[in-house]
Amino acid sequence: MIQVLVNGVFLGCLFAVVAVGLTLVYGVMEVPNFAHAGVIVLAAYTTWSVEHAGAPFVVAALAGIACGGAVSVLTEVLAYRWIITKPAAAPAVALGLLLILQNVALRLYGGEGRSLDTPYDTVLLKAGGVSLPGVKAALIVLAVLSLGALHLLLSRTSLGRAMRAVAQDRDAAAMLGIPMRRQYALAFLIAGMLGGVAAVAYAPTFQVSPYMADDVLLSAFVVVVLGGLGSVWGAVAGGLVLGVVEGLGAAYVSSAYQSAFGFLMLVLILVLRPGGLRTTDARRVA
Amino acid sequence: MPETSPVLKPVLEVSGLTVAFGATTAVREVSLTAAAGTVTGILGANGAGKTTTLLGVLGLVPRRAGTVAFDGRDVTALETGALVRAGIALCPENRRLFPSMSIEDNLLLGAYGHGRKVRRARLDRTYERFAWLRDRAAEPAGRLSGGQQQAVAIARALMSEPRLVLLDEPSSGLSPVAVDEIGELLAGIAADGTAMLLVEQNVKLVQRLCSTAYVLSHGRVTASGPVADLLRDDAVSDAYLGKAG
Repeated sequence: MIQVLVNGVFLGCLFAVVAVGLTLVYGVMEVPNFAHAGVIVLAAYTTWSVEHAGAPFVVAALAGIACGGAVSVLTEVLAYRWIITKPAAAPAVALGLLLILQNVALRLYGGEGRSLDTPYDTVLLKAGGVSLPGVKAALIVLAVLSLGALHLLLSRTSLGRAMRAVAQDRDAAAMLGIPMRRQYALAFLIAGMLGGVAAVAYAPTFQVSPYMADDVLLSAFVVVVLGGLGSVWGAVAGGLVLGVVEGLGAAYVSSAYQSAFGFLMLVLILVLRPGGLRTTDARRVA
Repeated sequence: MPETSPVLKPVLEVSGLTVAFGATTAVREVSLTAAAGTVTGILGANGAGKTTTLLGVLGLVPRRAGTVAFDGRDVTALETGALVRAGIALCPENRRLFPSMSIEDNLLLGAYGHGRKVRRARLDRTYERFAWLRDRAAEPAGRLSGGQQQAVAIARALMSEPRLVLLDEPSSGLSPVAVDEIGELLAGIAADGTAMLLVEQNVKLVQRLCSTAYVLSHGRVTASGPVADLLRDDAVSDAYLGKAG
């Protein structure tokens, strides 16, 4: 049972890191950022490329995270910024961007899966009958560190305060002289870097391919809905709940239906608590 | 009622301001001034263009024509953030606080763009003026009463240490007692030398605070002058202000 829960926490941390990036962008700009999966793909390929060129894994990982941030900001500057007053266009633009980014990866690296090696591939942590591979432990640690850093940014800094304000009332924030464009770019930068963290952390357990993030993106959107749109801590809680539910379902019913448990829970939550697990009286990113 | 001094140099000079949303012109060739230490009223019926004029001064709506000069300097081309840092603050209609954020966070947002030390010093000065805010700094702003929220909105505007405050319906939704308190607060701020441009439907508050006023109708200035003279004009009084009760 504990082993199942630990595996669920691993999945939950992955979902949370991806979902927080989605909810941050949604909170600030009200965009369903499907292109986030493409950002994760390019970040993973960048990590693989840099490592393949002979650089240490840490350098490759930092390059991947930086690439995630840069590509994400590019999507905002080149596309989303121009449709800010046309929210109905956002889903189509987001899907178009996802296809573009995936095809860039396909063009550059081909459709063949690549494996990402890490210094902790062979590490196996054991405690009281529970074992945890190094790559999964690394993902949990990276998720906790990155989400903790995000919490500090949002709660302790002027930039984070402004971002929360923009998420709650964009017009009121503009009246105070808060530069909107900078806030949008910052939200996409943070979301992209979190996507990079997710890519670096979970690529070693899967394979790097142009479609590696599709399933994770779907689960992350479930998490965003579960946690309440625009709520960072709702996304963290939703991620952990979804991860554990999928883990339990896979262990005690059938792993073939692992994702189905998450969607079944989504349907139940939407019927019972349409506002998500953490219902808020105002949109927020904290 | 305050008296106007003819020698006061205007802090704000708006000339020929025109604001349009697509084919709809909301404000047409509005010209007005506001002087330090005085409260200048903008009066008019709903939809006359009062709020749009304030937003136009701060560059928050598309200006089709006209100039805005602040402290004798043409600031028409400046973005809102630069105008706020230059010394113009807006206290918007319905307060527009961030309800789930703390009172302190709301206040600090008023000094966005300034360094940590400056923000802290201004926060301390705000707490000296609004002592009750210090004890409730960590509370979500949404928990406060309407009058308290209005005080926080004004305090937030003052966090930028402005020389001009644009006030949009500060008495809206408040009890008579709260309106009196807000009136006293605004009179104190003006007495400190701050210029204020006040959009207000409450005649008593206008009479108490404003020396001069502009009357807007369909986006144009149709009358201006000392408030007492404007209120003596039955056409202005009945059409735009209602009877002073």
